[in-house]
Parts: sequence; C-alpha cells; structure tokens
Amino acid sequence: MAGNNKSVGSNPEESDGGLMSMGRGGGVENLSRKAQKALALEKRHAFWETQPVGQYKEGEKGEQQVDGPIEAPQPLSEVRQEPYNLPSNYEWCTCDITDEKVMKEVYTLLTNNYVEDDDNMFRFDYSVEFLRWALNPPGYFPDWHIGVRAKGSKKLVAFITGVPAHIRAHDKIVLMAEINFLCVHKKLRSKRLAPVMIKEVTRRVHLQDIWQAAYTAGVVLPTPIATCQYWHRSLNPKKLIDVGFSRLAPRMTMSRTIKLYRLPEDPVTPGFRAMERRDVPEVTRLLQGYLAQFTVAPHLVDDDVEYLLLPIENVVNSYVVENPDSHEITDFCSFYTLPSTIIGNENYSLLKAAYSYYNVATVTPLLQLMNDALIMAKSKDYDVFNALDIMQNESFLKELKFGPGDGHLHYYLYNYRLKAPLRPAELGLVLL
Amino acid sequence: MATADWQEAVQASFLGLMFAFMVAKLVSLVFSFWGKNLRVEYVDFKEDLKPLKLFAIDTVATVSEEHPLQALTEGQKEERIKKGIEEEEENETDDWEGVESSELEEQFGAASTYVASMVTLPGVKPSSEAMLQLYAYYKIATEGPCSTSQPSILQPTARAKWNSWQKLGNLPQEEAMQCYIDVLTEVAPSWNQNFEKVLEETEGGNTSSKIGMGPVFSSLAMSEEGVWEEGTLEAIHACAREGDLQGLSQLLDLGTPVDLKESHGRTPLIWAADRGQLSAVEILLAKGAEINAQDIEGQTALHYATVCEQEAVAKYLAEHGADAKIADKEGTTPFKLCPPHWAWMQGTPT
Repeated sequence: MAGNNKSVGSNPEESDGGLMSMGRGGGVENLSRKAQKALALEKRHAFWETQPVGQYKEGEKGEQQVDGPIEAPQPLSEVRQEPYNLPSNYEWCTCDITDEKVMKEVYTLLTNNYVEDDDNMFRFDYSVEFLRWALNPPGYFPDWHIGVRAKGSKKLVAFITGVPAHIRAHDKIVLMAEINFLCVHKKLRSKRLAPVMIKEVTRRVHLQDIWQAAYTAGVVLPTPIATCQYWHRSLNPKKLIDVGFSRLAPRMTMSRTIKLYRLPEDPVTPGFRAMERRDVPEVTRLLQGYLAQFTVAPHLVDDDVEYLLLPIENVVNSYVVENPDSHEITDFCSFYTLPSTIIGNENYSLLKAAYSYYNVATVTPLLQLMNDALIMAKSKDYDVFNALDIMQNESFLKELKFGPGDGHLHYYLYNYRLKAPLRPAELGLVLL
Repeated sequence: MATADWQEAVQASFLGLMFAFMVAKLVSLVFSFWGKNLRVEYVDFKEDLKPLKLFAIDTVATVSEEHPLQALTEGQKEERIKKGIEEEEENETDDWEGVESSELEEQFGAASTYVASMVTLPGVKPSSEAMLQLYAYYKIATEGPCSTSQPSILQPTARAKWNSWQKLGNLPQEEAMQCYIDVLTEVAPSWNQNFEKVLEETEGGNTSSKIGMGPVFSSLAMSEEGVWEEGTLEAIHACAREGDLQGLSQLLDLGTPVDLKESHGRTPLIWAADRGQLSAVEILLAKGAEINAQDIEGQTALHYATVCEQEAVAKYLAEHGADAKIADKEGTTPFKLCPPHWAWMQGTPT
C-alpha cells in the first residue's frame, strides 16, 4: 500500500533491501515479536519502509507509541489524480465483476497463478461465485477492482482488489479497505508489478477519503498486528493422505485414521438449521455482542450480515441454533468454501476445503456447535475443515481433532498503529 | 662514432622535449577541466544510469523480443516446456512474445536496478573502474556493439566510457548480461540476495507460493499417528504395506511366517488390505495366508479393505473366501461397514 505524497517520488523498484521470510521453526506465540527483533538489525524492506506501516525500528528508539493513524489524512486535492505508471507493455483496467466475461478472466488468472503451498502441490481455486461475493459487499467501489492487461493481447496479467469494511481497533471504528487477491501472472513475477499495484489500489482508496487498510500475508512484513496459525480437521482423511495434504505415520493404519475422523450424519444440537433472511437481525445482535470482546474485529450491521452471512451454495454456509420453545436464536456458526487445485495427482484434481468464518455460542457449548459445523461440512462432501487460532477457536481445536498446519498467517493494518501486537485470541477478524 | 653519439643525444633530447611538452599539456588540460570533469563524470553516470531504472521493468521485454530463446540454458528450456504442459493456457503463447523474459534477463534487469540504486545512495559507490566495466556490458546488453564515433580527447569521461564499450567488440548480449552480473557480484556480493528478498517481499519468487500479500495455503504439519501405535512392525508388514512384492517374496522364501502378527495382531495380509495393495494380497494368499485372520480388535483383512474403501482388494478377498459376517470385538461385520455403492457386496447373503 502506498500513494501518499511522501512516497510518490520513491520508487520501490530502485532500492535494495531485504526481507527475511520467516522460517517455520519459531513458536507461534512470539513469532511477530521475534521476527521484529531478528529483522530490525539488518534486514530491510525496500518497499514497506516507505509506507505508513509500523516499522521494526520504532520500538528501539523508545518513542511514545499510541494507537491510531500513523499519518493524518491529506486533503483530497493532494491525492495523485492520475494512475501510477506501469511498464510500457501494460495498462490499467477496472474489472467489472458483474460482467461474466471479465469474471471468467479474473477467475482464470487466479486459478492458474494465485497462492500455492511451499511444495507447489496445491493452488487456491476461488470460484467465480465466491469472487463475486467477496468483491461486491455493501458500499463497494467498482474501481477498487484493479486489473493490469498486456497492451497488445489485452490479456489480464495481474489483479488486486480492495473492499470497504468498518473495522474496530480497541474502541475506534474506522472505515478501512480490505486489500486482497493480489496476483501477478507467473510469467511476470520478475517485473515487480506488485509494488506499483499496491500503490495504485492505495491511491484509489485515498480518492474515496479512506486512509486505512487491513490485509494479511504469509510472510513477515513490517509489522504484523498478529501472527496466527492454521489448524486442519480431516473430513476425508483417505483423500487428504492420497493427495499429500496429510501423511500417515508408518505404524498407523488407514483404517484407524478413517475411524478416528468419523462424524455422525446429522448435527446433534436441537434447533440447528441453516440461517435464513429472517434471522439477520438476531445474528447481527449475536455477532456484535461476541465480537466486542476482541481488540480488532469488524463492526457488522444488518446489511453486512445479510450480505456476508446468508448462505450461498458453495460460497458460504451459515447455521443458527433456534431454541425449539422460545424460537430465540441463541447460537451461530459459519464457514466459507475455498477449494484448491491439486497439482499433478492422478486421482484427484480438487481439494474442497471449508474455512471457519464467524461463530457465536451463547447457549450451546462452542465445542458442540463447531462439531455440528464439522458434521454439516462432512455431509456436504468437504475434504477438510480449516480454522485459524483466532477468537475463541483454540478452545475447540484440539478436542475436535484439528491438527496444526504448516501455514502462518500474519495480519497487518496500513496507516494504523497498535501499541502492542495482539495474541491470536485477541483478534476477531477473518479476511477471505 | 661521435656523430652517431651526437645524433642519438639530439634525438633523446628531442624526445625529452616532446615528452615534457605533452606532460605540460596534459597537466594544463587536467587543471582546466578539473572542476568540470568531476561534475561531468557524476552527471554522466547519472544520466546513463537513469534508463537503467526504467530498463528493469521495461526494456527487458524488448530484449527478450529480440532473443526469445537464445538466452535460455537447456535446463531452462526443459523447465519451460514442462511448465507449458502444466499450463492449460499454453495455446496462447503468442500473447507472451516480448512479454516473457528469461531468467538471465530477469537477473540482469534486477542487477541494473540495483546498480542504479547504488548510484543514488551516498557512500556505496563502486570504483570508477568497475563502473566503466558495468557501463560497457550494459551498453552491449541493451544496444549491442559500439557503433558511434569516438568522443574527442577533450571529453575524457565520455571517451573512457566509449573506449570500454568499444573494446568489447561483438560480445553477444547474453554474455554481456552475464558479465554485468558477474562484475556486480564482485563489487556487491550481496546484491542478488537483496534482490530475491525484495521479490519475495512483494510477490514471492517464482517458486515461492508465499506471495507477499494475501492468504496462505496451509496443510497438516504432522503425521496421523495413534498413541498406541508404538509396537513392533516387522519387515514383512512394511513390505505388504508398501506393495514391495520383491521384498515380500524374498522374506517369504527366507522363511518369514506368512501370517506373522505384529504387536497389534495384524498380519501382512491385513496391512496389504489397509493400503489397497492388491498384488501383495494376491501373493500372500497364494502363499497360504489365513484370509480371515483377526487382529487384537477382531478385525479381518476384509474389515480393513471395507473401511478403507479398497474395493478391488475387498472384492478379491470376498471371491477367495473372506467371510463378510465375522464380527470384530465391537460386533461390527465387514458387511455392516460396506459402502452403499458396493452393489456386489450388498448382495452377499447375511
């Protein structure tokens, strides 16, 4: 993210610098703090050091750290009006995601070039329906869906998006941009389009008089507000083992593994059912009450809940527990669908994964509620159920047979400083 | 002889005078241009290096247009071909002409970007000798052999640069790129490291999936293992599990009992059934393995094949006399475990 006046002249392409991508060895708890210390000494972030983000060196100077924006908003007239320059063979475009044809192009770019695991065995395969859902929330800005095309062929070669969201940090609610889906075609990785894309999306965000953003990354950048870990609950262990998502210890039988992860066919909580439109006000009430306990969390109103949490087949699944007598909605759970392409396996081509989204338990024990979510996911043929160790998730992960993942997710705020990094349990935000 | 000496003396003094004159001329030249020269040199390098910055993101494409494949090593070609098979959109290769760049070009682009940044940063400027070399290789790599005329002796910097460019003659562009990278590596050994890290920082390297910004793919970090699975596993069980037919036959020939039980009471047949190793099942049965042998939980090979949905193995076992009605200690029979789509087993009389 970039684009304030200070950074207009500084081109991230031209400075040297370095990033230490964190190894996996470190303990999760103190990862970001350790990272800061390790990096502060010599490692530099050519691009991010020019940005209004928390810098590693800040702590050392003993400066007074306060919560809040790092830089004050500029007058809109001072925001750069024209797009940043791209290499000469490329041009900006705005991706109209209501246009089926454009949507298909975006899908094709992402499904072939987006995030892979370290061993290049899996690659995220966000569906067209999912992208449409994720990118058009209430109040979205069409020109925050930014593409880069090759001038000659008009082929879409890079993509980045922002969507607006009200995010609360401590007691302040700030309208931010959630930045996501940064993807550069594999063949163009060396051209370093990413920094200019980040600057461009920042510019367009600024033009809406919005000055903060939230984003995640698999690598350590200056400076995470929280470092979280993925956990995985096998639903179809045989397939997960066959495709290399998990492994069988030499003395473990497949039979025992399959039995270990068996689930009942139906949810056990009475009154557990899919969320409907009429549930929106009560779900909003539940979520607002629940999310208030976290230091950083979205501030959701009815419109958001209706848009983000009403079930959409193969995009988002939400369930409520309705008290059979009082008909009060007492609990809520949800997961979203993010399949991945399985690269180079003879038997399977798609890994169907459910990701825990927002869950609120007030009467039903959270453990039982999440077990019902697992049962629903299993009944809908998902292969694995993933959850971060954020919110109160840690309380059910081990007991429900989630295993730790090899992926760490770092959360960042742009132009907003927190006095201290958060523990995962203090974080109430899920970015898609 | 005297005449000759005299002639020699005149010649020597003449040469001496000439030399003195030239030295004086040189000194005056140097003095008169001293201030200017310094500035000229500085400005010159800066100006020449400006396009370098653009080059890194821009001109690479042009270069690759001229030499789409020449710069590739055999390995890279292979890799590209392999990639091509993987990528479904390979039929659109035309789109990539002039857009795609080879690894060398990418490195060269990065190197020139790095040099450009060195010039703007105070204190890290390499020697002017190294800069001249970099200049020459850069010119060859981007423009080819020197074809302009030699600048006048009054422009010593430009002349020095021209000389170094001209000296390289018809050096191929790829070689020039490599030399450029080599010179830089000598001057600033860590440049490449920094470059790769900058890449990783923002978009991930070509192999790294950890794109700077966005979600992260995670998979299970630990193996599935049961706490009570600490017992013994003989070689024959491992061979059956892995479908190592040669190993299996050898062990049997050496006298390993075909129904050897490991600590959990499982026979090699059960291990083969668990992993769907049909050939191993065939060999074991041919060698007289007990088809209905039960482990300490009372489960037979057919239990295992059924739970693990190893249909071919289950079918083979059933056809060779495995009993689908044997109950394990929980009272579960293979028949009860039968997946709904196994019509052949559904029809088994109870």
